[in-house]
Amino acid sequence: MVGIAVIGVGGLIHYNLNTYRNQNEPRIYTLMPTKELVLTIEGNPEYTFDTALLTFHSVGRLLKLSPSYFSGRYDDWESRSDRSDQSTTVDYVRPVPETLSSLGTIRDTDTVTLRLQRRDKTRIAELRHQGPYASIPESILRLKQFIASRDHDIHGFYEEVYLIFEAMEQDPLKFETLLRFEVRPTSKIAGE
Amino acid sequence: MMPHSTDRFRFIDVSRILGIALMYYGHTIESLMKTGNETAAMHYKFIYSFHMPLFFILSGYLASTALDSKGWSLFLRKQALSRLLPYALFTGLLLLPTLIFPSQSVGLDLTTVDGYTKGLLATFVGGFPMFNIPTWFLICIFVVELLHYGCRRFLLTRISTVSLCLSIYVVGSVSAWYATWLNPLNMLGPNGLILPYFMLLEALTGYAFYLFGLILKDLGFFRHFETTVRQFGLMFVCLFLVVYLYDLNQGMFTLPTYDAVVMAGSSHGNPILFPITAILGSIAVMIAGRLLSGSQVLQFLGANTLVIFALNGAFYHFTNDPLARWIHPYLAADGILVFVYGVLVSGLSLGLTIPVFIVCNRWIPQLIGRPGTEGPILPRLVDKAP
Repeated sequence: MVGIAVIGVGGLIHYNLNTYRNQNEPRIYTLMPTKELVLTIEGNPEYTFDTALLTFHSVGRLLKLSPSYFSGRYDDWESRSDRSDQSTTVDYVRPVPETLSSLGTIRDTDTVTLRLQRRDKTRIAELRHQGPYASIPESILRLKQFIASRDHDIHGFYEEVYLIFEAMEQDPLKFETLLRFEVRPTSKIAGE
Repeated sequence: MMPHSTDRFRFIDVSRILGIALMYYGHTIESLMKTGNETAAMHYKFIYSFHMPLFFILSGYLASTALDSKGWSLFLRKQALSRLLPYALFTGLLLLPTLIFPSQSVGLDLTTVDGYTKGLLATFVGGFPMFNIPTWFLICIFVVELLHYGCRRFLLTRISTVSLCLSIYVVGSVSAWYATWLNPLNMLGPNGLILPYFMLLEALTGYAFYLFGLILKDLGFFRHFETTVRQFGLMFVCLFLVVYLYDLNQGMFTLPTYDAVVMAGSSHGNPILFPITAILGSIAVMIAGRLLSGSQVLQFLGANTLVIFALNGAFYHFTNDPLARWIHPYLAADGILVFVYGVLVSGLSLGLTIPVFIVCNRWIPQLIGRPGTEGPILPRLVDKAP
């Protein structure tokens, strides 16, 4: 009994220390399927971010949605990184329950298109970025190197999940953003 | 064999098995919901609005307020043997097939040693059963019973019981919303640390329902509904109100993708609508239990609910999801078809547990919640069944 307890406590400490140490390390895992509310907005992401935030707030109240995180999804990293482009199209996304079957009387506006969609099981590479958005490219480089080292390739979208952002925290050094690439194993591509 | 087989409490056993049938149905339908079936999502929301509070109310209905003269350590031993031992047994049992078959274990990558380490630590140190999710209730009721053991010296009058019930419900609700650091689902995330959560957060809300069960018994509530006509009347009124109210509970769930009460994750939604639907639904099931208390089959099943309950994990983790994915293209979001599918699959799953609990009862009753029973392999583990 004492032996089992020692192994258990030892394993627990080892696991938790490892998890704590690696919390800012990149990882590859699979997201479960979910239903999503998607706002497609064209414009400079500096401004469309605020539009998305307000729209999610209003739509959430009208549809009585429970609080949730939201993310900005781009076709690829290049369309996100080119800040000179004033007409980037971004899909802002938040999960919604399966019981939400329609948007009711909510209609598209001149700048925002809304839709419900299902996201299938998706394999992603993810890195938690702490700090201002300006330093995201450095984290992206790290994430891309990690993806290559794990025999995976970027195949699909680039996404930023905003965990702590300007509406919640004034100090950009405390911002937290999950950076995600949709990926697939290199062997799968070679087999095609 | 039947711990509560007196006439007075026979309906509790029958109510329990009805609740478990609802749980089997809810878990079957949950898998269908995950494929994108909106009708299944509504069925799920309806069932989940009351089926887990029912089990706490039923446990409370059988609880005692008399002080235990045998002392803390004996009580702890009895409860640990009748709750934690089956928890360990059935979690361990469902761990084995994951070595061969893929399991739908949320938050675990069972292709790696790390996944198993995390699962085992979360199960036995964190008190959240990653390999057999439905058995979270065993941990939760264990903590609720410990809370009751500590509090019952204060339950001297009906007013004190009602006051404690209301206060602990408020504390539980506020904690469920704000004290998210106590939520065991924190362990499921990629950066989740394993800490001894042991369902403490949900045990507060669970204890409020447990005390409500005690109050129901103390009031002699069901004595007012002895005739069949009155019982049918009350059941239909309660069910009608649940149907009317359950979908009004929106927008306050802590799990944004589940627009339904999920007690395992302390996601209750509206703190006023949740207990109302939970209590109305539970009373409806308890009345149904009284109406059906003469059924020998239901009594037989009702006397073995712990094993049936714990074995639901086998279907929840291994068969429900693949079956739902297979049937999804053939099943339109039609209420009747979804209902028929749910009833057939959950009925079949429930039926498959019968040989298992017969074998368990025969050979290892001590390990399935009856530590005071003498068996052919093991001696009794405590002097008297708790």
